[in-house]
Amino acid sequence: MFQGNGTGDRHAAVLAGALVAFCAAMGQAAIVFHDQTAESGIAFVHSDGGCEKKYIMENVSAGLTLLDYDNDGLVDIYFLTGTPLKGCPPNPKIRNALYHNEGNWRFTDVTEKSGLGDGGYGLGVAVGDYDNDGFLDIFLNNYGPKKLFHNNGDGTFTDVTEKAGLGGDLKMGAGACFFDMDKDGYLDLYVAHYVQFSYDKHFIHTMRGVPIYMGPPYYPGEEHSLYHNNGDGTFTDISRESGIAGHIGNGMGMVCCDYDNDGDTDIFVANDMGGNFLWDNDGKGHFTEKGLLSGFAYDLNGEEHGSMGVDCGDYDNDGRIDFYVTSYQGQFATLFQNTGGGILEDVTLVTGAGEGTFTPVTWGNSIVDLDNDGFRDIFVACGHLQTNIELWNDVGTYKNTNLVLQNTGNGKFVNVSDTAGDGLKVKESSRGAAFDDLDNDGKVDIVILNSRTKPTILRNASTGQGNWLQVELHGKVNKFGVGSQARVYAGDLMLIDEVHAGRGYQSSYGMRLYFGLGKRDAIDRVEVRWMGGKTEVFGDIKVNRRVTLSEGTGKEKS
Amino acid sequence: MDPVPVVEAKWPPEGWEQKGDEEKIEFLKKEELSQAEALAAEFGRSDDALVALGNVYRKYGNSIQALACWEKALAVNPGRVDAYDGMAMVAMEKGEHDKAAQLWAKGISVKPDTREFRSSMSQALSRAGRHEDAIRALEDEIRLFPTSGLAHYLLGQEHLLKKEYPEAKGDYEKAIALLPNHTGSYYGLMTVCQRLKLADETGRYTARFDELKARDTKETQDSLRGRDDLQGMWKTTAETYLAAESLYRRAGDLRRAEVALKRAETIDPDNARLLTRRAWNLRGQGRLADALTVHEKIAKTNPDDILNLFNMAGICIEIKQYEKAQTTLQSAITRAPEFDGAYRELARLYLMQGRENAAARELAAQAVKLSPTAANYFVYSWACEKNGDHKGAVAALKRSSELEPENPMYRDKYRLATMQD
Repeated sequence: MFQGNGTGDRHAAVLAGALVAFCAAMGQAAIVFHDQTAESGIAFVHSDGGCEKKYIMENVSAGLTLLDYDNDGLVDIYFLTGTPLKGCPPNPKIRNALYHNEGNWRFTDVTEKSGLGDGGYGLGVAVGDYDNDGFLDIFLNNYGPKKLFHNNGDGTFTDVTEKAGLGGDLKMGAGACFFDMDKDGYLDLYVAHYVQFSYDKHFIHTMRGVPIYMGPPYYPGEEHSLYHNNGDGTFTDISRESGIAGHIGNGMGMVCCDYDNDGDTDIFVANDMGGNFLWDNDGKGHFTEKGLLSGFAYDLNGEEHGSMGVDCGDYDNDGRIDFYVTSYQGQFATLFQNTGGGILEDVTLVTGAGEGTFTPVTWGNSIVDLDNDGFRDIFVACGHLQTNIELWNDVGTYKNTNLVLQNTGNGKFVNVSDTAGDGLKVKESSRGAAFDDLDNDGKVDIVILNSRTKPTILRNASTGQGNWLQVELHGKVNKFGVGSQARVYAGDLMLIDEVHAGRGYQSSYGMRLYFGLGKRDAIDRVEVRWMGGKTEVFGDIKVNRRVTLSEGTGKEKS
Repeated sequence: MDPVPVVEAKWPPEGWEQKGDEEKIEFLKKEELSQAEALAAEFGRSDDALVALGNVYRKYGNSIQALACWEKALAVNPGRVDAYDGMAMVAMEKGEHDKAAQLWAKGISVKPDTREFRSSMSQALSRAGRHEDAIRALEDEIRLFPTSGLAHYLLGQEHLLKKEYPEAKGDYEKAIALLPNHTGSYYGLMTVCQRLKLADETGRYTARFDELKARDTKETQDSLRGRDDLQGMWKTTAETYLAAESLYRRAGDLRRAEVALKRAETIDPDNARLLTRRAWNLRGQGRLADALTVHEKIAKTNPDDILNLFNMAGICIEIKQYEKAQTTLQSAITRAPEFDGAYRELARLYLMQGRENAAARELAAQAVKLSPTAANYFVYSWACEKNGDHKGAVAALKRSSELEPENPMYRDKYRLATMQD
């Protein structure tokens, strides 16, 4: 008698086997993720802070961050949560949570000790070392008061919001990014805002009689804010003089990177039901909005999406950073290919990068090499924002499985989610997703924040993968090298990446740079263009290890 | 199954005013569903009843039952292309783009002259990554319906994806000639001109796109902010009663048809389809002035209802209000430049009045260009004759009688014209 899983699982196993065989024939390893949540010791449960009043912020909460806050070489996890909103019963136990990575997939709740149990309404987060003391600090872009937590270097954090001059902003937050806009070595801060919300304008909308959440068109949009780091632990609001103010958006996720390879960092903001922003930096901290002309504002049809998260990465290995933007139900998440000359072309329909994204609402995402074959894949976190969608549209479901789109190396993506292990069978309503190597085995793992429930911890359990290299950049002033760019040359392969401090869906991760090398077992060189500095060449680097490259120790590129 | 009893429901029901919006919606929802289900039960072999019930299920987000109804409707009448359309739309929403393309292809095989099916199919094919098939579908649509602005635009999108910029530019230009305010086509033009490094044109199209996008955004926001769930329920429930009225009328049960129509009127007195039906009824009774009043009412609430303008002009001509007929037809042309009937009827009006012969010929020629039907050729023939082009008139009459050989008027006129030669 057959004993084991149900027919469905057996069927999935047969399919998985077939896929492994197919991938092997194609020279690709299968991508497999194991759901590690139960073994992780993580007890965090997200709350949207609601009580059936259906406030708009409930369905967009929240992001998370992966950071090595204590510099012990293991990446830790910080989850954001919503907290009880007006008219809902207070519950002081609902707060953000920091988990220390003990190794071997065990995490310990250190919220209390760290002082990071913020009771504000969590939406977005950015992590960066704003005071260049070598420890990562945390900015929370909450609904209501924002928070800047200074990392004291001893496992504790201090709320320095007021002292830093960031205390005045009570708007509804969204994504945020630290980045060095003027190359002075100090991280500046972009703070996206979602909508102008007020309780007195709120009402519960219905769809064919079923109560639903109101979307952003019911509220005026918001200006976003840009803060200059004065280098003395304080920030100055320069939204107006920088050109950022005056543009109204419904900001959600965001990322900062140098899309035009001109050596300065530009800003990308996903706007919910409005054109996305591309703020082109003139190198001195003045920005021009180029969303429309670059192609980033809208999809191929000139249509705005309910854009949610945005991440960047070079999917076609042409040395230019491309972008992936997630969106609402009935819209494809969109892959923008950077074709040079400031143009970002929607190539979703010709690459298959939207496969599986049309029906769910899509959120956290990354262009990341999950099988170390040298070509970046795409991960997409899914889940509807209407908790009762099934009551008025059975095509959508509140809980969804997430998606893995494998890069076939010829400019195309294939949806391999069904065969990507039990980790991709988890059905929740996901929001933020973060990507880092949690067990230092050379493979990128994933942590997903799920709305109204526990998170999902995915261990990359893929086997037969390619060689790899992980790079940590150590700048002279800007200690974590935010904005610095590394190019890895290995035989026929040239891979590029940058250090970002805020990305995806209102999240922050990836201070280390990850490069899959496939079968290439030698690295010719790594070139690092330091933020605001020179380009250096580093040689004698072996594969399958993590290296720290420090500014000033490489050979200056002529 | 017993027939649905004829019950003239008391309206408003007891305690209606005290009910909140949600209760009212729930009441209407139940009423609409039970009406549609009863119809489908009574007219189980009627594809109309099954399609109507499918549409109601779809409206309430029940795609599984909607699909089942449409499939039953197709079993009764395989020619119901609207059932294929509904099924394909659900497949699209589910992200099953190949399946959607197959369903539209089936619809086309049943009724090859269905407008826009090939365009819809091309979008499904494109989303499925089958771009060459999408192009073929669009080329077919354009061959059959050269005035389909949507098809030209979508073909532009496919050429853009293939980086065939000059071809895409040509497609978008054709689309704009047919749909002057089509936002997507301006975005396409802006994009290809940028790729082709045509700076001036890029600037011009960008400005136009910006304008149109601002308009679209405002319209979307206004419509969302102004959306009233209860109001929407009134309207759609009335539609279901209109479907019932139509079924009963065709089944010869005028009593129940009347009850259904009355109910629809109670629920949504401003419903355009209902008003149109009433106008036709009045026209049938010879009460032309009253019919015109109803058409004018529709034109106020639905100024883009081209058929209404068309019918309104017809009545104006009948009651000899020629000036009003002319402005109404001109308005129809402005609002729907791709609608051939308005060109034809304005030409006919001029010809009847013995004026503007040259303009009449141009208008009739445009009608023929948009849709080469027997009726359009017939009016064009008349216009040719009035402009002294007897040869052209005979050729046009020949086309009319070829296109509709059974029509005695075309046949006789043609015979007469050739005898004169």
